[in-house]
Amino acid sequence: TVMQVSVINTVDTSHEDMIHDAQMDYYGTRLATCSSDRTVKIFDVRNGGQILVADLRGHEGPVWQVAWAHPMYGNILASCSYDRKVIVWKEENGSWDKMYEYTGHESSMNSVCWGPYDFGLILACGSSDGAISLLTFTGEQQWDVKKISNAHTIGCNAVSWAPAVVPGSLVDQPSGQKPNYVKRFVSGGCDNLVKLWKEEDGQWKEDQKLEAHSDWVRDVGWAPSIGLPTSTIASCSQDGRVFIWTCEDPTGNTWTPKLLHKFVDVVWHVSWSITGNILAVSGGDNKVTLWKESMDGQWACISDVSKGQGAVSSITDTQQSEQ
Amino acid sequence: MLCGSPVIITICVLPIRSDQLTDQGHYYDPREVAEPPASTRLSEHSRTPGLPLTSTNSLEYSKASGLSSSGYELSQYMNGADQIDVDSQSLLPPPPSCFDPEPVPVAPLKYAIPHAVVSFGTAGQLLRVSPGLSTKENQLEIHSLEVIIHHNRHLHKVDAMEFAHKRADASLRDVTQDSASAALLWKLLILLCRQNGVSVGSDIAELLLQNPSSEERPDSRAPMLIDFSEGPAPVTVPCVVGDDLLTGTATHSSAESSKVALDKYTSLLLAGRKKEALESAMNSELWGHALFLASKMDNRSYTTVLNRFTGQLTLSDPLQTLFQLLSGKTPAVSTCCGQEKWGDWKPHLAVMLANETADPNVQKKAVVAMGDTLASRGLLHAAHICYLTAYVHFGFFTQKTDRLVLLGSSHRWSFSKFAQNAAIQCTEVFEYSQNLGGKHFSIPTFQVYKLLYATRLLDWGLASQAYHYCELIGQSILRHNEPQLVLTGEVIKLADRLKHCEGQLSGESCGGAPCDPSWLQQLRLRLRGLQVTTPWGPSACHDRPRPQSSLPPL
Repeated sequence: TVMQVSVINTVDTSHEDMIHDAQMDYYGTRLATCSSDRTVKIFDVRNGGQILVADLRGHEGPVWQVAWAHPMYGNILASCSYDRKVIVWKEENGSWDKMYEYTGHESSMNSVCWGPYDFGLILACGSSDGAISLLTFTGEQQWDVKKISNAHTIGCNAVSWAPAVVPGSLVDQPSGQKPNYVKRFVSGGCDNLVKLWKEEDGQWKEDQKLEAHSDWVRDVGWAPSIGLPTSTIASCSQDGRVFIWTCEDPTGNTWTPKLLHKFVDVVWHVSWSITGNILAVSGGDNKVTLWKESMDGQWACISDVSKGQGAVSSITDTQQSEQ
Repeated sequence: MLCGSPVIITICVLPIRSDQLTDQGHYYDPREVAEPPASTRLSEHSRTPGLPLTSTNSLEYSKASGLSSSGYELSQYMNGADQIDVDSQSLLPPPPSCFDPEPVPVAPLKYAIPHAVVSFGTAGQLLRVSPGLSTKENQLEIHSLEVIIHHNRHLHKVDAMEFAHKRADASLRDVTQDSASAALLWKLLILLCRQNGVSVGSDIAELLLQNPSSEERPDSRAPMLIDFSEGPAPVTVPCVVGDDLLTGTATHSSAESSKVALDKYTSLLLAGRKKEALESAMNSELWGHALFLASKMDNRSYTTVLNRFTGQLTLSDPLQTLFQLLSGKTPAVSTCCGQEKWGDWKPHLAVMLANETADPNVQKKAVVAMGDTLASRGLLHAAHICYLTAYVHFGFFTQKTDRLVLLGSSHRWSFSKFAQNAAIQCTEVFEYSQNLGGKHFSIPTFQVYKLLYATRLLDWGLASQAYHYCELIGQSILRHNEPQLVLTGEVIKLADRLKHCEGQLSGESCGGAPCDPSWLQQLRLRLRGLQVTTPWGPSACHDRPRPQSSLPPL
């Protein structure tokens, strides 16, 4: 079966420079973008529309990534920038303001990712200074900071949280005992490594070091899961390769890489669908491809998302169409 | 690969406001240059003399002043993959407000050139940003994942039966040994649907005896077989089709010899020599008389006659199976079926199902044993037909001793192979058929696979159907009392996320605020209840107390 992908909306962001990230919120009603123009913009995209809700200024350098927190904490967005800052923005009474500004790193903040809501409001941030910070909201405008120094030599480019659910617990016989939740996340760095981290007794420790890339790891993504037995991580690199790492054993100790594809150019992003079954990849060739695993464990490209392919609805913005 | 337009690289040593130094530890000390400089070196004396450096201000300044001179330095960090067009950049003196006079090792830009951005939305949306340096170029598109499918999955009875028909036909096109059984399994489900989940043994028996499959050997069609069993051979008299076992009027006997036999038998009885009379009757195949006489003698004699009588049949005769079953034993076929010598397993199962035994457990045990044997020979679908007719309960993927988890697949396989859509659909049709009788029926251990199926629907952009599955699963959970902690939590998560899409589609709202349908509210209560009785939870492994504002509104 071939998947068709078609455009249902085009958003004119009015960013004056490169756009580095675009993320929909949890319910799919809002869109956040960030750019080298140092702004973060939020749009309401319900029903095919695009209403600019906020134009957030506060960064003093290109903004690399944005991340939405779970809506149970309110409308909260995190952004990270070359200016060494992580800013957490919150919507109160209809207007967006800075909730928290974190400047604990000595270099560009490259990646932010919110942990599973089961663990509270906790943000992982990776920096070009090689360190990773974990920021936990503890209430009363207080944030607890834990830092992993020297996580990656030269720099950390990406962080991504593991789902909270214990692997395999969905299909296992209910034990009646309390689930053993462990906070875990994955990071990728300029040391060409993918690293897994886990929290033990309140301390963060390096759990696994995954070596396969021959150049900087540009992005990592831990696949969402409903509790199936396999844990999956995607990593992509300057070396043009995308690897899929899987772990079948419940202890989480044996990770096996599988080469998804070797692209001809750097691969910038890997992004999982919310089910964790489809992987989107974008690379230096500016193509976006979608990948899915077949029953026999082979990954296949199911779509090549071309720009403007098969638009089904009229473009609502007033700007002239592109070409 | 570089796009056509020149790359603007802005390197700024940023002014530090004093209030920024407060919270987060020490101020950075410059590293030795010998090491690859990893960090931005933030100069102590970079505060702007008099000019407030706002974000837009700085950007405009950079643009106005031309391109920065740091292209060469950056290229060291970019590993040569990104070519920087140095020629087009004139080496202008840096803007005085931005730059430290001495050469400063700086952090590489995460992205120095435009790049395509991609991410997923909630309900089958895909965001794609075409790379570009300006508003006109950097297009953000929201795509919808559509899929070409040729059937919709409403669960109407007719649709379910039609679906099963298609599956049965598809199975027959396979060439595996088990494929005929696969088709039969689907046909069994069709039968169950048609009869609203109710079936009697004879219905299934009839189904089993229909349409012998092509791979069966011609001589196995007949229930009576030439005996070539390898087991301990009873008195084997070749059975020819048409034998009348009871009276033993075999073709080789003439009426005369039977009269002689009868006379002999009578005279022995008249002499009171019962045991000899019995032996004589058996030898002469006067089974009716032998059985009558033995029934009035001791148990041992009776058993002997019975055994001798049934021993006339080949071991692989379904009648043999029936006799053994009715005697309260697990028939030999249960442990021997599936082998070529035993012929087709279906007539044996048919005869067991069509005839009730005094103790239903005997029958169930025999059928289940048969299923086990078939399974051990790799005849998966055949085994599942046995299990289904014996009402074997559905178990767990991780419990390898469980017999049945999903119809049509084995939980000894890898999970992805095991949990294929066909197996989930097959099990679902069975579950559905049982619901047709009007009673609520659901398989508790199966619900997790419906959730998995729902996520697959979502992958294909069918958010509304995925949401509908969540509702079905939720209602099933609420009907059971079995604690399904993980499933309950995951269904709530998915339903919560999709409910807005559902609301959008149906135009519902509760005064603008998101409103949960009652089943979802009840499910949240159920989860809370489970969490309380099983002391657990992420809060238990928190270092810090959860803040008030972040209590989950479950």
